[in-house]
Order: sequence, then structure tokens, then C-alpha cells
Amino acid sequence: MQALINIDPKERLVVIPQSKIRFNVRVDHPKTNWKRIEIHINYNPIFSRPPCKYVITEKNEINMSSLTEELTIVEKRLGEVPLGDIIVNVDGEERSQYLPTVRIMSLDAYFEEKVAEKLRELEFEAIRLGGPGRPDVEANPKTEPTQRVQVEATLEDHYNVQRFRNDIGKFHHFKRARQYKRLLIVVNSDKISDVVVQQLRRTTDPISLIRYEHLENLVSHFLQGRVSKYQVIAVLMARTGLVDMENLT
Amino acid sequence: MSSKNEFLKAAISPKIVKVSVYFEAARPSITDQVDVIQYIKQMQIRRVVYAADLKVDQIGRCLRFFDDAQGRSKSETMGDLMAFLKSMTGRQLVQKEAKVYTIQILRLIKSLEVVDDELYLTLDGQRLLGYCQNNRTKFLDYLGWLLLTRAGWVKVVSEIEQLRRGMLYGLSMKHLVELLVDNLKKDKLLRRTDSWHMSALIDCLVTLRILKPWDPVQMRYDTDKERLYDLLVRKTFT
Repeated sequence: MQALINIDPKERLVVIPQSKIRFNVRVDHPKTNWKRIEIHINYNPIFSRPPCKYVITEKNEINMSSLTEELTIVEKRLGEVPLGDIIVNVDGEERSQYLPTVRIMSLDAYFEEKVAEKLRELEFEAIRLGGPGRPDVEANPKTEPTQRVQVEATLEDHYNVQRFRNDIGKFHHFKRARQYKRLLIVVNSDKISDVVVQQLRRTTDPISLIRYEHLENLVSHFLQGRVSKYQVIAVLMARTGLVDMENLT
Repeated sequence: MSSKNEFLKAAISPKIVKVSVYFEAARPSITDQVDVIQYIKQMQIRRVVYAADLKVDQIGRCLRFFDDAQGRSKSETMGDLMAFLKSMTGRQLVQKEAKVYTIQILRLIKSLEVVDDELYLTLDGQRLLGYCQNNRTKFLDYLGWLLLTRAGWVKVVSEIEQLRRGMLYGLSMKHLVELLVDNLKKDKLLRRTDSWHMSALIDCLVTLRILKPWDPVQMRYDTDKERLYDLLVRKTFT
């Protein structure tokens, strides 16, 4: 009777300091006779969290037990760290598996990662570059690898003209070297300076700005099949200025 | 979500890690999983059929269209299908393109055996439509089974699996897809793919949870063998 452990996701988790990770452990009871199942979760020592242990001794009608365990990321240092491992012991027979690793990021980097994730859901190939002197995200539609877009993601509460000029300057700096065809600015805030809005209306450069909320709406419309991928490309790649979702739906 | 604080709140909300512990007797063993691959190899698949980069939900919408078209003549239905196709995909198609797509969609729908020669829904079609309207899980299961067995997508899955095992170094997603198309063409399972993209077919397999999403670190698609085992062997659809 060998226990098998399946962990989802297997890949790394992206988190920020103070994020919580919840482990939902589902233990199917063996069909053969058993007396005791022990579940140990050993955390990486950098989380300063003692190991936890659960013991299942009684069968039930649904032949399954579920356990929940929560961990808060108190670690302030950024980077990739393994979470720890899980050990299952059934009547003395032991099996263990590593838990996924977590990548602890700053809030700004996390926002950039989220923007890249949303673009991937819209069938773009998107990768977060980030860091000083680099574009935040680089993306292109899967079917058109040459239509490369520079994405600048801003989490700040107010998107002002200085920030806008900074993004435009960055675009002109990288445009030739990295062969970008467009600049897509993603802002979290709905407070966009009037000057920026005016400049976006006037511009003929391939620059567009979308609010993160609208990007999320676009993803949900796309996943529900309410907009096609051609409409998504038309919204994100063919228009300049402020991207308005009202025209789309 | 408009302010930084709200985003922060969402960012620190719990991320779920699902751990399931099970025992050999209850789940397919490694031998069973190998059996699935053997089973696929023995299946008599002549052709892989797909059309117009349709998404899984759009196939459901096509079925609804055929259900609404009951009672119309075949030529009327074909004409309406062209208009429906334009509205569904949102593409501005010229007449010739629209005709090609329409024929291909029809070929896909017919190969799934969900409509008959008169374009009326068959029993399978009505069952799939029922699931589409009421139960998404069952819809995905049943459509997955139809696509794997009747549209020959099982060969795409086994070819991806073979490529994954055979590659000593990671290929980019684009190259992997190109290699996949070449291999399928060599096996005469595909003729031309100029009106659809293999990446769209793979996305459908991901939506159906048969393939796991592209792993950018390992540079590969993983097959969910347990799900495949579920669809092909464990669940009874016939």
C-alpha cells in the first residue's frame, strides 16, 4: 500500500511579503485495512514556523479526510525559496514530497508579473523582464512573433505626465534595440492626469494605455468566448490612445 | 480594483496549494498510465480534424446554432452558418475565406458525429448540447472524449508526449508546435493547416485539462495522464 502525493501547482508560486499560502490537503483513505495516517508538513526554517502534524485514525463514510493549514510569508528578503516538504506516514510506511517553491517579489514586480499573466491568458507570449533599465514586460501575439510589444505596468495611485514621459522615453530608447512595434501602458489607477489623456488622444505614435481593471475584464470576456482573439489583438495592438472597453462589448 | 491598497489586499489573499494523498488501489497506477499510451497507439486514427481556431466554448455555440437551425434546409443552414461564423469569431472574412471556414467547421462537427448528413443534431449532439447548457464539467469531459477519439486529437496528445520524452533540450513553444505539425504531416494525419493554427488546438487541449499549460521553465507541455485515463478508459460515454 504505497501512498502517492500529488501537489498542484508543482511550479513556483509568486507571492509578496505578508501573502498567505493555504494548503488544502485531501487524504483519500486506503481501500485496504489501515490504522493510522500521519501527515507532517515541514516548513523551510527561514519561515520560522514549527512543523505541523495531523493524525487520522478513524474511517468515515466518504473515505476521505481534508485538512487545511495556512502559512504567512513573513520573510522580507526577496527571491526564490523552497516552501518545505510534506511527509505521509501510513502504518509506519513513509513517503515524502517537496512542496513548491515560492518566489517572493516586491509589490511592483508582482503587479508586472500579474500583467504578464493576464497577457498570457489572452494568448500572448509574455515575459516579465523588469528591473532597472529594462522594459517591464515584453509580449507578442502567439501567432505573430514579430509584433513585439513593450508593456509598462504602473501600480501607483496616480498616473501623471512625468510618469507618462518616462514610459515614452523608455519606449523610444528600447524600440530599435529590441524591435518593439508598440508601447502598451497598463495602469492600476483610474486617476490618470488630464494632460496624459489629452496627449494620448493627440498622439499618432503606436502607444496605448489600458487600465488593469479593463485588462482583467478583457480576459474574462475572452475566456467566456464573448470576444475573439482577433478582437483582443484589435483592442491591444491596433488602436492608439486610451483603450475603452465600452466600444468592445 | 482601482487603488494600490486594493491590489495589495488581493495580492496578500491566500494562494491555494492543493495536496492530494491517495493510494495505488484507488487511482491508476503507473502501469495503467503506460497502458493509456499503448491504448492510444493502437487506436485507428486516420486524420486529425480541427477548424478555424475554434475555442471549446465556440464549438458549444456551433451546436446551439445547429439546434436553432433545425427545420431549415441544408443550403439555408450553410448560408446562415457563414454569417454566424463571422459574428462568432469577430473576423471580417471575405466570401471565399468564409466558405473555406464553413466547410472546415462542418467537417469537424461531422467528424464528431454530432450532426447527421441533413445537419440535424444526432443523439450525441443533443447530449453534448444538454451538457453545454447545464453542466460545464460534463460538457468538457464529453467534448474532450469526442475530440480525442473521433477528431483524432489523441494523436496530437501522444505526439506531444513523444516529443516531450524525445527532446534532450527545451524547444521554444513555437518550434515545438512547428515540429509537431511536421511530424503529424509526415504520418499523413494532417494535410494542411493554413486556415487554423496548431497552437489554438493545443489551447483547446489545455482548456479541456488534457494538457497542462505551457511550462515556461521546463519548456514543455505536460500531459495530464490521469485525466486522459479518465476520459479514455474510466468514464463511460458510449
